[in-house]
Amino acid sequence: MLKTPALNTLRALKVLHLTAALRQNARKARYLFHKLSVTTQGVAVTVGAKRWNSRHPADILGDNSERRHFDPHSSRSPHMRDFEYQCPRSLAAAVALFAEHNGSARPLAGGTDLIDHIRAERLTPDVVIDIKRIPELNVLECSDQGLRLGAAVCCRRICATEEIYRHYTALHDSCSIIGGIQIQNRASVGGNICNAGPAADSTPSLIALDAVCVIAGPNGPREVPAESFCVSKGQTVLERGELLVELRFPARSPRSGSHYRRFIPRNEMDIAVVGVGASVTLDEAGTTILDARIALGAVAAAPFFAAPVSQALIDQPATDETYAAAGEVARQMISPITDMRGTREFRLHVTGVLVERVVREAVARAAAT
Amino acid sequence: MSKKRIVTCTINGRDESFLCQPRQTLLEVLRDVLDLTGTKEGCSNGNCGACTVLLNGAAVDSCLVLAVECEGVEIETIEGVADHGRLAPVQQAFLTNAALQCGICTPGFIMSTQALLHENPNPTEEQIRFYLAGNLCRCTGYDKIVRAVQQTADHKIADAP
Repeated sequence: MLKTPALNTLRALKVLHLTAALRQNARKARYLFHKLSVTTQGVAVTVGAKRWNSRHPADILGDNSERRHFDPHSSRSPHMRDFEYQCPRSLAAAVALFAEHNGSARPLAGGTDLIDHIRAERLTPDVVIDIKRIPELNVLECSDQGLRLGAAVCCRRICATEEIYRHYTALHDSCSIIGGIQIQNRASVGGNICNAGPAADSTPSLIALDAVCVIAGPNGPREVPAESFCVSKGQTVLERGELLVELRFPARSPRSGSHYRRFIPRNEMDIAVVGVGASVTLDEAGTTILDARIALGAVAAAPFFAAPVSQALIDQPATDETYAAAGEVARQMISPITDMRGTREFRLHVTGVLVERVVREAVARAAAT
Repeated sequence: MSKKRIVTCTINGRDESFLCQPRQTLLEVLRDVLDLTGTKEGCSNGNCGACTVLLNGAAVDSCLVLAVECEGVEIETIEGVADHGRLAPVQQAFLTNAALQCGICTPGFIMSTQALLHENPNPTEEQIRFYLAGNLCRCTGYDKIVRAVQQTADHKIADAP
């Protein structure tokens, strides 16, 4: 740290500015911040340092508390607030790190949500723990036992896996419409469910395909069905220090098909107004639905398993009348809100239409196997 | 303040090491530390794709990647597309088809196109539009860009032995 008289002035000004800001004297704080900026330029000129061309007081004082308030017209985006970065190579090491930081750490997989949250300061972790290099979180195995999907596997890798396309098609559908290609190359299904957005595109597919979330934590591993994982908007069942490791899907029965579809006003790169995931199993003749699991997204605080809609399909003939009846049950059971993406009435209507269409497509896929 | 770290990776085929703080994104490091200012900053939240670079061959938004995550990876940026000052076919096609106006989105579109044509040398118009959905252009509309990509693909197929 350089010591010049100008720098002392700068420190004094900074104290005054912070005091004014704390007392919520906005005019005085603004004036002092202006003086602070001007003096900083002076300091940069005085010491003649080339690297200080950003002219920001924080660069000289060595802290970033003011950075995000600096020059709103600048083309440069503000720095994120400071955090430490850790990259454990084993699950045990990761669990130990999360325990050590006692709630102030956040896991980083694709980062497509986390980095945006940190930049906007919706999340303020002291430590970011990169979990992408842990082998258990990168598992992608399809066998007679079912599918094992590591929580950090990115959407593109899922889309490129032939077995998922063939047997867990709803998951493929979801992963191929989340964000653009750039997002799909980073974003993981594990991150999608942990972020617990009401309109998450992959969660209804996980619920429809009967996935189980395998969780590691300081008190040992445990398993939670995907339908119980998200409690509310942004809230999951994960306790402090716990980490989602993988999603386990049961093996698919013969003559099963699944589908996920959402309604968005654009063609792609949008957030679901309503999303529906469905999985059905047909009888040998292919005319009766033996089993069905329907999940709805964006019509409640979290995606959920629509048991009454599923019941309305089980042991029913695979006909348009059945699908329409299931759509009507879905309309009856939900109570969506009105927001910028759609009104309550619109969501009610679209949910019925989507349930019909998604079940029809899932049945067609089941019949084609 | 977190300690700076040394990150070693390959950028446009050259081995590079740089110092960065954990909070710095790959985009910030490319532009402010390595002076590779061809990669543009648009929205900084993963919507616009202006900052697209290739990470181990996969198109990603560099504003959503921490630079410290890049240890050991291969990065390709717009600076690596031209061959010793000679424009690559995709760049020439963007010029010929006037597929840009202000040019801020162009490096991102070109990097996405590189990734697309590497995966799928002969894409349909629908595939092109789907693949480029993560890149936004507010000047030209997308028709000229799509035509430029189609022309690049056609030329590459014609030139193939």
